[in-house]
Amino acid sequence: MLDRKKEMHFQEINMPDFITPKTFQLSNGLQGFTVEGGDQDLCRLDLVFEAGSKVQNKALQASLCNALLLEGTVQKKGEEIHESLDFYGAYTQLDVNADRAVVSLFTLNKYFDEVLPIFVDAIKNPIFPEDEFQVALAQKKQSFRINSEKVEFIARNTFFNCLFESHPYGVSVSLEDFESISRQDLIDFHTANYKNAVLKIYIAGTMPTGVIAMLEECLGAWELRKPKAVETLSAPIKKEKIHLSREGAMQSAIRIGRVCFTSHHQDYQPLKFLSVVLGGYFGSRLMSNIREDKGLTYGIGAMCVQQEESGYFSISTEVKGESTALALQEIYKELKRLREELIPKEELSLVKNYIMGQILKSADGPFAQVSLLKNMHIQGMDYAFYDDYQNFLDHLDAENLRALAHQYLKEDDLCEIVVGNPGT
Amino acid sequence: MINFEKFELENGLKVIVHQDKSTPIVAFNLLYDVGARDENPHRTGFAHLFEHLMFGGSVNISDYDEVVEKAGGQNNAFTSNDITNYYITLPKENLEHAFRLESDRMLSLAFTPKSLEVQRQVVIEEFKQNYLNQPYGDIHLLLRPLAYQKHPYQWPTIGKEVSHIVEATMEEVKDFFYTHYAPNNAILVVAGDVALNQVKALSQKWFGPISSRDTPKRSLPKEPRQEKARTLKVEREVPVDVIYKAFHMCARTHPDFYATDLISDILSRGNSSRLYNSLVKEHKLFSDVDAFIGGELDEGLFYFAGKLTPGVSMKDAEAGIDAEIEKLSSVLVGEKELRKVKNKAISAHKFSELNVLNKAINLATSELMGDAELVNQQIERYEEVTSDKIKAVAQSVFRKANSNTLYYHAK
Repeated sequence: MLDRKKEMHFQEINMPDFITPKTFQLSNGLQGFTVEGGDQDLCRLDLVFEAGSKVQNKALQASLCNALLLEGTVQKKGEEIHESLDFYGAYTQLDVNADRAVVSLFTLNKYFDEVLPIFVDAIKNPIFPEDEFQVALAQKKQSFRINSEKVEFIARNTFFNCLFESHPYGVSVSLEDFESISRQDLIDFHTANYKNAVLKIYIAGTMPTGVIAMLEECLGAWELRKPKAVETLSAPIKKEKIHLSREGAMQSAIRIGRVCFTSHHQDYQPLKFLSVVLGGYFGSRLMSNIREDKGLTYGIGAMCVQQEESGYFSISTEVKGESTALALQEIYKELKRLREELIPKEELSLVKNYIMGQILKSADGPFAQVSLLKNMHIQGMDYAFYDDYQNFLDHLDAENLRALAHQYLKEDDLCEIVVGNPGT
Repeated sequence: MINFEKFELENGLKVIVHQDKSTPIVAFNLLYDVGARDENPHRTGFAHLFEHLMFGGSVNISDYDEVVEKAGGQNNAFTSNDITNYYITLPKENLEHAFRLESDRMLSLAFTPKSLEVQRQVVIEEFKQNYLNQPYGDIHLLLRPLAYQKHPYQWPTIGKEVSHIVEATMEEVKDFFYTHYAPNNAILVVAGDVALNQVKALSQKWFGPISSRDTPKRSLPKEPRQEKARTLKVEREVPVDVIYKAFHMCARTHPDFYATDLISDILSRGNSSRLYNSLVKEHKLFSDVDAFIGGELDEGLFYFAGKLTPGVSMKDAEAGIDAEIEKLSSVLVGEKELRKVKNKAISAHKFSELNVLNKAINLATSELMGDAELVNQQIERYEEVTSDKIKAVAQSVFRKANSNTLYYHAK
């Protein structure tokens, strides 16, 4: 008879076998990485630029420049560029955050030689036509106005502004910024941060034949500039409690957190681990208490995020308006437990397994692995990181984690943003 | 091309195995053939509420998530108008845990009153967060009942109104479970570095002892052919005017589905598509405009959705959409444009087969539509579509009398 109640043995999860990336260098010194694998004749190319919003002089410069990269060169109109990329079934992705911009091309291998020159030319030589610029500006302005109605959006912006003030990490867009940005601002930003400034290239999947030679042909002649030196920000601890009331809001958006550090700080990994225990997975303490026990929210999470120049710890949720006070009380109670109680062994090992499972999933195939590699490079690391990380997970120390919570997660050292219906 | 093998247990559970030795992860996907379309019109949102309850403990295992997390896995679920789908991805070494968890849930839930109370609250918060406390969140709550007068697609998966969730009782919950959560109403797909015999043995061991249940054959009211255009005008506290147009289209299994899907691509896939070039860039009527299909299994909807440029009237915006529709119905699509959307659809299909969970979900839904092998025939079906077919489908779908238009005005 099958005993369904009996818990079965859990196999220890080992670090996956990462595909060893191969490196190559183009004649101009540009560094490239290939992550080869998979059985579909598809590949993905990523070009990384130091063109995040932190290097912009004006709000919207980085994001609009990124969004308009494929909208036309002297020889080709935007429509023609899209028409030919679409014709070959290729996809592009344009991403930008505070630190970096990444432009990606997804294509069938058999058309790689057709689409690569179009793609690279578009990125190197855009002219940002005025009409395309106006269309994109109008789109961004509209989505900004729609987002500005959302309590979560207001809470997030207020939070980062509180933490980082005038540093680019803290500056959010305002409606006036849409009036003062011009096409020339994008041209200037592109000249300074994209043209001749590609930092690294990555290619994943099954490799198209002659891929390196093709990359050399398209990218090998860029006259590369030296990357900028990274500065580290030391922002002061903020203790603000900001409550903004929004008429008619059914829910309150809550953000609680503080400035932390880059991933090079010795306390980064353990603090990140603590954030997982607190609110990093479905069975986390905040989810168990505030969603699964009290039903105050659809979701609540905590995270410890690294940035190139800094980092932050943040708890975020949207809760039933009339229960805002109760939610806040319970969040602080969970933080207090982290500071005062030792995390039980079983919970440590559960979270460890959960994290290992995440790593395994993020190593599922060459496309996923190239994302890992790119992120590690942005943080100034490589796969050796995972050996250290395994070592860290194998020697988790509850006393240490408690001391860490005491050091970084004191109620008085956290700023608190509430937007919505603060209840009664 | 996805290779797979199929077998069926005596209790009616269909099992599909896909072997992919290249990944350390196994995807375990269990699809139940029940969705919002199967709900009582006075208890809408029930299938989705039920999905939440499935995580509130089963008869022998009190904490589902804890087991998944200890096994290094991740799990989630989604409910649509047609199906409820549960999945776990986990390291292959711990695969059997997934069998234990999912078979226990199929055997019976714990049905604790606390779980019902809490998940009821969570779902109400979800309702508020995504539909009520969100600019434009209520669009589908308005559009669906406009387009459907008989078929249960008239409500979204979250439900018609919060009160239906508030009033749900434990008796109804149990009844729903025993009616729909049966081995003979489910499809299991296991995909990853697994062997057929291993999956056979595990399926027999864990699911074999569960008896089949008396699940009634689905007989839903058919939506009558729409013979008169319908419109609805609302005003809300939102920043910009929005227009939605929905037309009835064929079922997912109908041969015209692929041509209909390509029509939505011609209109709005990528920046070289017609709507973007004509209505956004050239005529500047919209800041954003889209054409897409809902993807339902029964006769679904073909949507147009656009955010108006400030200063543009609803009338002019609608005329812009109508002109594009008229063009499709009267002028044959050129060879090159057709080749482009086919290439794009085919490459999208290939990219979707890159990860093991997607493959598992594709296999399960294809099996539900009649045969898992359909997943390997997609490319062929797209290739078969001709310009004449596109014109004919456009003429039959985009009849004025078949339209449901929502004018969503900013106050």
